[in-house]
Amino acid sequence: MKNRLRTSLLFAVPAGILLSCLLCLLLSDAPLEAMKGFFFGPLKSIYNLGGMLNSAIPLLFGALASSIAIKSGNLNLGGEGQVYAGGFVATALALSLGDAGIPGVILCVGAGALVAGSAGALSGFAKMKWKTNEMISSFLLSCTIVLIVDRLITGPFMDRGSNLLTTAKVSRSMWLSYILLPSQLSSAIFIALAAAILMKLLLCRTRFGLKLRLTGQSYRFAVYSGIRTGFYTWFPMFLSGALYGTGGALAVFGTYHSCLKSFHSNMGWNGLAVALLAGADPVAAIPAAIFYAWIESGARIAMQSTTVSARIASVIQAAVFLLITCSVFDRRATARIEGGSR
Amino acid sequence: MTYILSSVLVTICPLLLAAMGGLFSNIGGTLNIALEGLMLLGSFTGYLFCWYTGSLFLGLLCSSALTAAAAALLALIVFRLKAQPFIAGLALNLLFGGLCPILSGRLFGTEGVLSLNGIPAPSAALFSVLTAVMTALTLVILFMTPFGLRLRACGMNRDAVLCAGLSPERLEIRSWSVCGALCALAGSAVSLQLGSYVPGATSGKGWIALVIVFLGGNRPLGLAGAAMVFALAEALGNHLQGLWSIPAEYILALPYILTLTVLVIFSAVGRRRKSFKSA
Repeated sequence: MKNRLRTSLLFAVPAGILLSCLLCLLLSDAPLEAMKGFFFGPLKSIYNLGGMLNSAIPLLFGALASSIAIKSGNLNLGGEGQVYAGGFVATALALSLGDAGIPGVILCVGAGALVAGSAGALSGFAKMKWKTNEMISSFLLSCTIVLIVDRLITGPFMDRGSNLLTTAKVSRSMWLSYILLPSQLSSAIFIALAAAILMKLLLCRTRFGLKLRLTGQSYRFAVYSGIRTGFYTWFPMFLSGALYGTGGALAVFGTYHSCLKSFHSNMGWNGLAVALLAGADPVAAIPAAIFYAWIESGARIAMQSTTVSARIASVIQAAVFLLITCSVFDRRATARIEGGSR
Repeated sequence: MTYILSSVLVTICPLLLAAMGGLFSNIGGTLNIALEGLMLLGSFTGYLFCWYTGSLFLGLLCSSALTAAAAALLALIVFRLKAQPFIAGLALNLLFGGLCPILSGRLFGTEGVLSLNGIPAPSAALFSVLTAVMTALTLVILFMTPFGLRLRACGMNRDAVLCAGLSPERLEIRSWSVCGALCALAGSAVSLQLGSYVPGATSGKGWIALVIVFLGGNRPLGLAGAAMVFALAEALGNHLQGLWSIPAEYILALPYILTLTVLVIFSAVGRRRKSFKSA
């Protein structure tokens, strides 16, 4: 897995950069401006840099969530709903607590993580009991959650005084501090980095992590080894959902300060994408999340200064994924594949 | 009652067409995750070509050909370059999610709703008939032709196909092309029935089609049944929304909840029938 990551990454990242240049050339009336904005825009000012790092936080949490699921042999496609649920539950609790300060933040984030984790655990439980495909069940559940939370935000929890479709803002004492003014980068980034290192330690240095990975790599072997595969089927899904929920809750306390409608947009899918980019490794997810956030920010900044559509970010990200996943570029993987049937 | 029936027909056509496409890929052994992206491409190009050529038939034909080519390209990447099907499918969804708005912006100056003149309006029954025909054709092709037999063999036992002297990759690439063409029809059903291209009108339908493929048990009629369940739920929900004042979002969630319940029940019940299989 490590070799495949390095070789394909060697092709994919430069190809992505080349493709961005090509797209800027084709689609923009001022290609050089667009390219400058795309590559250097996020780094040009503290505001842009901080914004880019800030958008990497939910991506990192999403990547951690997806990595845990992937390592245990599951695929959690319910990220969108779990992020939304986590953020909403945290906001709702915070609004009822009032001025609760940092202990309140911890409580609310925990509550959000718990609820989001339960959503993931439901899929995991169905998989454990009835071999229900967790991809589909988590996806369907997520669609349902998104619609329900949408309704709760625009209905009973709506802040009538605001121009946006959002809940009321949480109390000032519960806002996470900005660490890089004038940008929006909040202290949640330290939590994200700590979580990444924690996850890596959990997966690679504990017995729990070993059993989890074994269950993912070879279910039958795990069963015969006496590992409680049932537990290691649903619990990683719970952790995955909890991590997504934490990302959502921290986005609320750090950036938005209220639960905006659809703030979760693409956080779930992008988290999964970053995890795939990082080869499901928690520590590799850190540069992967920053790279991904850089493409997104770059596209937005290029759009602001020239006529390039911000959608080129999607095209570039897609190309990078396609290249990363082609294991034909890795000689070892090819030898393994040609040795037997796929 | 006729209102429910007509709305069921409108809902079921894109879902069932895309699900047939998914069936072609799934029966060959690898599920095509990119139904969503291919539907989007089909929706956009269907609208585009119908406007450009002024004829429904030519427009649908060109759109299907283009989407089939895109699906074939994806299949090439998955089967020849040994990409992971799931990631490649996600990447394609992402790609067309970005490409279509970009093209729309370059050609028409807007990334939003397109309401062009000169689009021939499809008759009310056109897509229903088309869907029925395609379902029947799928049944025939998959279960009564040599190609279908080989494709099904590919899904059951790749080595057997290799031993027979055939190339499983070629079979799969061909079946994915058919999948692309069907997804194009599904997408066009959405945009042409609406009369304008609405970005996001097809969002989610590709994933629902995947669920339908999963529930339908690799049989075209099973797929039709599953699609019917979903479409009925949606149509009933819309109807009930008017009758009782249930908030719109809860009605929209009803098909998802229903499908999830059906999925869980199916797996719980099905497990007793199936013999022990590796997890």
